[in-house]
Amino acid sequence: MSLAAIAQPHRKSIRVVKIIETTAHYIALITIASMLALPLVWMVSTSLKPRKEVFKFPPQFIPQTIQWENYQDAWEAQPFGRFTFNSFKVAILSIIGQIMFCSMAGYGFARFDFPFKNQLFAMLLAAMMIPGIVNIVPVFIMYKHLGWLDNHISLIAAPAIANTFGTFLYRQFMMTIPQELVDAAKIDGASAWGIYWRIMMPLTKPVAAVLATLTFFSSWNSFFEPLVFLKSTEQFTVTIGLATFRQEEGTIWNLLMAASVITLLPSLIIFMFTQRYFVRGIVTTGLK
Amino acid sequence: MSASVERLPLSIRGSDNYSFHRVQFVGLLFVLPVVLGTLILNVLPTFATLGISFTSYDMLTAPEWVGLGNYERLLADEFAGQALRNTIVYTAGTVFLGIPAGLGLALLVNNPLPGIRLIRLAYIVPYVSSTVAIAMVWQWILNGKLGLLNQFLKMLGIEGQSWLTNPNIAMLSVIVVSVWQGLGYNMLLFLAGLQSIPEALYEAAKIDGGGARSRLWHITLPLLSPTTFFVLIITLISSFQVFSIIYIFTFTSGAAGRLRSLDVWVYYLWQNIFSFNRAGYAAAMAFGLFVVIAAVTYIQWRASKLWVFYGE
Repeated sequence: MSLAAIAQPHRKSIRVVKIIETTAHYIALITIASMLALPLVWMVSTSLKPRKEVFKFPPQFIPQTIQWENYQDAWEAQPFGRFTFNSFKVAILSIIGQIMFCSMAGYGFARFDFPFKNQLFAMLLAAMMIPGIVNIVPVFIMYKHLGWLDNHISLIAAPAIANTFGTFLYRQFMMTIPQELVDAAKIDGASAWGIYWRIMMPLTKPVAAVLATLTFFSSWNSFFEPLVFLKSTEQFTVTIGLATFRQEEGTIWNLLMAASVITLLPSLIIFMFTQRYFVRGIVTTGLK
Repeated sequence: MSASVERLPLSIRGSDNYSFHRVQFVGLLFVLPVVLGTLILNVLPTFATLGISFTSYDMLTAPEWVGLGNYERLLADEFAGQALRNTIVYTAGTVFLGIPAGLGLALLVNNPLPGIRLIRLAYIVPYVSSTVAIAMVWQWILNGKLGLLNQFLKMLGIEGQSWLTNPNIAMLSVIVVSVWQGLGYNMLLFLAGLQSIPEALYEAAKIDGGGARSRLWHITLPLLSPTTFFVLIITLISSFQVFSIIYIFTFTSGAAGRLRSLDVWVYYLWQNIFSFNRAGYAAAMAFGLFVVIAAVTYIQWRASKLWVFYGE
């Protein structure tokens, strides 16, 4: 028997096994994906049902009658337009502040020598381990005295300016920028600020994209800080707005689910466009 | 002097410094906003928390020195004890369910199948979703009377449960929801770890006749230990601080029917500040949290040097 004859059926069975394996793999992947998606699908499904269909047995994922008015009702029951605006405002200002201050600090730590540099950097690294909740009592009192309570600055200040993670990321990245580029700019008479603005900032756009994305989601989804710092309805962000909706309108499930979708939708749309940076950001934090 | 240094060929200078003395202070100016911001909003408040924890303070009248009174009270407080136990149960749940699940999922998606990127993204969606909105829909699904889960069970002829109001299973429900939400995050971290393992090692193992299981035990898991270690720390630290989902889930039953079995450390801390006007006591709880988090970070950091295999 020739060697080829022995190999032939073997190769065929390998191919069959391979196809079965791939199919099983996809089935597993899709089963898990639907299990993960199920609650969100149920949220959307309930949000579109008329009230009498909500409790129907057996449960139905596709509503018999689609009632879009639920969204209008939810939107009007609480000022969700205002909440959405506030959430965007807080997120965008946090992002701008953070990119500005963290890039400056990253530049300072990466490219200069100054007294106590290592000690200051060590302090930032240590501060990275302190969760905001630990400081809630004194920070609340401080904001009260500053008149920052019930003001969006209370949600923006810490991520914008006390942001050690962003500083760390910028520093790491700016340390890798070739000195030749800096030297060339110096010969052209660029000041330290000029180098920062015309060399460092353009070259660190990837860092800015990653930071902006991560900050958007942590800001949009944050709950503890707005719960503690905000008081009046017109200042509320979407998460607090949704919790308030729950408190004031109760469990009218179809409306509550519509309100939940309203809260989620902008962030999920943004996720579609920024997922690349989001994933990169998570992976960067994972690999030291 | 400074001017002549400026004129030296750039390569001789060798340092990243823009120039000597004058400009070095420019560096200080660049870092100043973040350094001051961190000092004022983060570092000094931790000392303040420690200070306040030695006082009886309602945030309205002046604080009164009570020494270690708050800490003594904390040790005797049965609600604090309950909150601590609940937090430990929650943390254990997210560690022992969330980490293996994340690893398993990462192994499953670490395969260049067509469409895999899209599937991975779908897995992250719960993680980027707001916990408050997530908690709302899960409350609806787990609703004891007409929730989706009980409806499903009914179709199978199984008696449903009051998943959120039964003190014995409410915490398990919370854990499952949290694990569900964090699965994509853990998967991403493990995936990054898996993809950093050199393919050559697997090739070598195959030549040596190692099966899939032996490759998992002898190559993947040891080389993945830095990632596992990182995921463990992140899970511990975030689980100690669980709040949002507890807040939404406990609100259901109203003040009277509130479940003590869901009261976690940060929730009880928050209640002490804003419901019971005991900010000094809350500060003691907060400082306790800080010590535990700092200790975990330190112990794990030291331990990692012993058992984590960092490869080359």
